[in-house]
Amino acid sequence: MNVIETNNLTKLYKNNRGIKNISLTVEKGDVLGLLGPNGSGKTTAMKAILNLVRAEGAVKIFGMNLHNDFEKIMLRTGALIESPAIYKDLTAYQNVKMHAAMYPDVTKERIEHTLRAVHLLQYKDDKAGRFSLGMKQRLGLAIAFVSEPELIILDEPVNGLDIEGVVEVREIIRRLNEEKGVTFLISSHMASEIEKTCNKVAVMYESELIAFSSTEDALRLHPSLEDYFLAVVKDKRGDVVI
Amino acid sequence: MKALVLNTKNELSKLLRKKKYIVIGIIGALVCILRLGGNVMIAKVSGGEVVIKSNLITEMLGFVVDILVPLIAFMAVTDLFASEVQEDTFKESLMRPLTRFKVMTSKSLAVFLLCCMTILAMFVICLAVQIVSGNSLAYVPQTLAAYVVDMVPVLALVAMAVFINMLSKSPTLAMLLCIAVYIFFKYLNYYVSPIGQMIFTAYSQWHKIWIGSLLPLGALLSKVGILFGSVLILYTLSYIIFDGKDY
Repeated sequence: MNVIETNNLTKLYKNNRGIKNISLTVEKGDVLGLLGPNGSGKTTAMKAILNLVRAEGAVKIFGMNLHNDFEKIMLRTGALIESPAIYKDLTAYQNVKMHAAMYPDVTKERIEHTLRAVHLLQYKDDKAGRFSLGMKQRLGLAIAFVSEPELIILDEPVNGLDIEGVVEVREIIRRLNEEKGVTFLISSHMASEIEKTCNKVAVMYESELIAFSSTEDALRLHPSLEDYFLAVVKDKRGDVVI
Repeated sequence: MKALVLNTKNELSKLLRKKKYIVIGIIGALVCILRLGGNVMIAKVSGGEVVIKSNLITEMLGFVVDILVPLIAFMAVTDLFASEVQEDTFKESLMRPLTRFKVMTSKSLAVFLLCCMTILAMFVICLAVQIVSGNSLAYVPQTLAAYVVDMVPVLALVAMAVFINMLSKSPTLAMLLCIAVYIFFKYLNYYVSPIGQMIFTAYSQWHKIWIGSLLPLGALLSKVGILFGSVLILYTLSYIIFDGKDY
């Protein structure tokens, strides 16, 4: 079953950056990594999938049209896009609770459990405005996870995290995917991160989707995802691969 | 509907956690107390010859609906729209299970409710000061009705502020524009007739056309039309802009 289906998704900004004709499919249980350099259109693609930017083309999530069934889709979707949207006047707990209030059956225990999972429970009554970048990122992840969504979209989720934090986030993603069957769409400009986290990879370059493969297949032909990325980019440019 | 109510609660709680609204409320209460103090001082200076037996609650209504509440409405709308866009927290509202129409409506409703709470709080403060000062408590029910009726035109103020916030990316500019447009409209209301009477800000003291001597039905309908027509036009234009925006 396809969880996300995009067809010719196009959004070009005034500076001619954005995305062009992105057709992408994410199947249930996938952890799909969007790999690409800064400015390649990863964030725009995610924003278009979440209706944060108005793009041309079609988006279907859980088989439903994004524009017609947005509420139903978002009841089953969690997301963290760019920098975490944290209200600095609220405590960590209040930030998560405010988001959780929009979903049925999210109890106080679940909010605390989510905060514990991202190691913020001991800071739950501290104002989020005083948090470090890494703590804000963890809080953003808690907000994305708290409703126990079936689909989670994470834009550069390990940004600002220390080594332990990166490993913990990777572990949370793995656990949610394996134990609860959660589907992930994750963007990163770090090939190594995608390689360790994702079972499928889509390469974005200069606003276009230039390659799509399972991580396993990509690694069968290349020593690492970094090499895979460089090879598909060279191929796209028409460079001679030596 | 449930999602709209839940998000309105969310947005209202965000506003209530900001200390500046409490500070503005305290300033409002101080103005009320100072006004009473002024009356007491006049009586003292004149040796008791001039005693102002005023109805403080009624006198304060103009200050509340023409100065205090517009200021709060403009600040709150700017906090929930332009400031959130600038701080990059607006997208959090857009990633909740809510349509854009419900996001905009819940934010606007939260501001409207905050303004209603301010109006009621000012009524209670003025009533308390009136009781303490020993002034007459006659007409309190009618005055309460006037305070409640004056909540209606706040809808238009909120719609105007939302529209201005849709046009401005900077919260400072949005706030300044709200104030400047409001002052300009008020100037038109007072000094440019009859155009001034066609602008919704002329009806901030809405109770004047409903309580006491009633206007002819035709005149009432035209005023109702101007107020709600303004709300409808401003809100529709705001939504058209909002719906097409990228975040």
